[in-house]
Amino acid sequence: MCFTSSGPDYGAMARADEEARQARIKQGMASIDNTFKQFNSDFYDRRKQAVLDSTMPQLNDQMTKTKEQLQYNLARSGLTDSSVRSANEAEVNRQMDVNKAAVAGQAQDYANQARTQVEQNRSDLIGQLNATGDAQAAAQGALSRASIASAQPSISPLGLMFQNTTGLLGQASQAGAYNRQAPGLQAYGLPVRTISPSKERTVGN
Amino acid sequence: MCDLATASLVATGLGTAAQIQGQQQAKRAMGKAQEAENARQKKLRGEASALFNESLGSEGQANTIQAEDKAIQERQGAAAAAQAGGIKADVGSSYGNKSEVVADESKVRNTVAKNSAGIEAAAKAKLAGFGDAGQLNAIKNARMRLGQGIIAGNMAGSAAALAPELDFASHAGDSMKNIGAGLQTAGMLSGMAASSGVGSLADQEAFANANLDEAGFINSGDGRMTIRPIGDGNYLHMQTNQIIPGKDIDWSHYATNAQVNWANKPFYMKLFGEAPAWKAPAPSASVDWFKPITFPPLPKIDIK
Repeated sequence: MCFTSSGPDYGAMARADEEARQARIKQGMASIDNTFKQFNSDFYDRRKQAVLDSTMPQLNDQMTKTKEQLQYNLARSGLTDSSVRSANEAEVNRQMDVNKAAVAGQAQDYANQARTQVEQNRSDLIGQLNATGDAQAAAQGALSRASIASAQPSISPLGLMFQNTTGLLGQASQAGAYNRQAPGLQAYGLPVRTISPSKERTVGN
Repeated sequence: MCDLATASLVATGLGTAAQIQGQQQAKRAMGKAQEAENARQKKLRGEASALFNESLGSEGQANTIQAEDKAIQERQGAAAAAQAGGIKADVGSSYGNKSEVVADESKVRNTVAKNSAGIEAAAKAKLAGFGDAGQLNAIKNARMRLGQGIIAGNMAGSAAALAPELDFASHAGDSMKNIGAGLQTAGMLSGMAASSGVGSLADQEAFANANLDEAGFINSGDGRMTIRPIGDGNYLHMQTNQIIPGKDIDWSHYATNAQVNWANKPFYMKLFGEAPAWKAPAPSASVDWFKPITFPPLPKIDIK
């Protein structure tokens, strides 16, 4: 007659398997956290600064050219020493300030975009880890994704940031520069000599 | 004296008791496994609840406003820093003509433009700051959700492990159940044997009792003594006070203390031994006064 027990403790084996799975997930989470800890505030600040460093020179360049165009157009129109100059300088400066703020915001947007991308990668990895319980794959995936995320993104060049709001700032002056018959301010139907600063339309007035 | 039928009943009873004990062992083991799982689930629920509360707590109005203010300040600070300094559209006067009127107007217009740009940038930064705070909040909630997902997975995995644990625990009393089954089988077999007259304790007991009824006793010391040795091979009959030579005694009619004691044992004690040889041996080996009677051995039950 057999009085032995019921064989191997498969209940304890199942429990041990589950505990091992949870331990692997914990280990995988530690790997992911360790790999992704580089994506901290400093990282996003650097990303933001990189965007600023890339786009601000472009803006300055546009500003310089716009200023030159304004200078040429004012001189061509004989309005250098007039309120028109004051109004256009102020308008260019205003646009420059708005553009600088926009570039700063764009840099922040890039940093936010990077943050979202990093978080998406992290989330994907954790999801995979939770589904598979494979800590090693999670660690490798974390390294791979972190490597991609830490690479500098391609930053689109700035578009035309200055608007020819007064007719003196860009395109109109360019037209005058290459065509001596171009009317300059007359293109807007105003006699050059009769134009007065009070009639010049500038933003902020 | 106990027969095989009684032994069968006893074995069956013991078997049933053993099986009940086995079932209780299984029940205790299953309860223990369930209790441990309940504790694990409770701990995991607590962890998930803590995450939820943390996430919910940060969604309060005060926290949201605080987070938005921080994000707005950062945006506005970045815009103000960007606006400070840099290239200015200072065209300047022609041919050294420094018109104070134009210069003053430029100063005023630039100030107005600066303020205007500052206000516009601040407003845009405020608008974007809401988005920044929302993004950080979404990231935080996503992390909480991931943490809760892991906890949910752990809860499911732990619950899944409980099933085999309970199944195995249900076998915790198998040894006792097997013992019980063994006893019941033994009881059944004993019953069958008793019903077929094999090794009937009733027969043995009846036989022993019958012999004891008609037998004399020696050295019993319990008041039933009928003869006792008085030396020179003679014996004194206690009832008649007659002195009887040992050679005239038919020893097959007398029982020893061991035989009397065995016959008087409780029935269950007789299950685990053999009856002593029947009847009293003759005092002299040279005289074969009696023909010994032996009882058949009782079945042994070996419990491990």
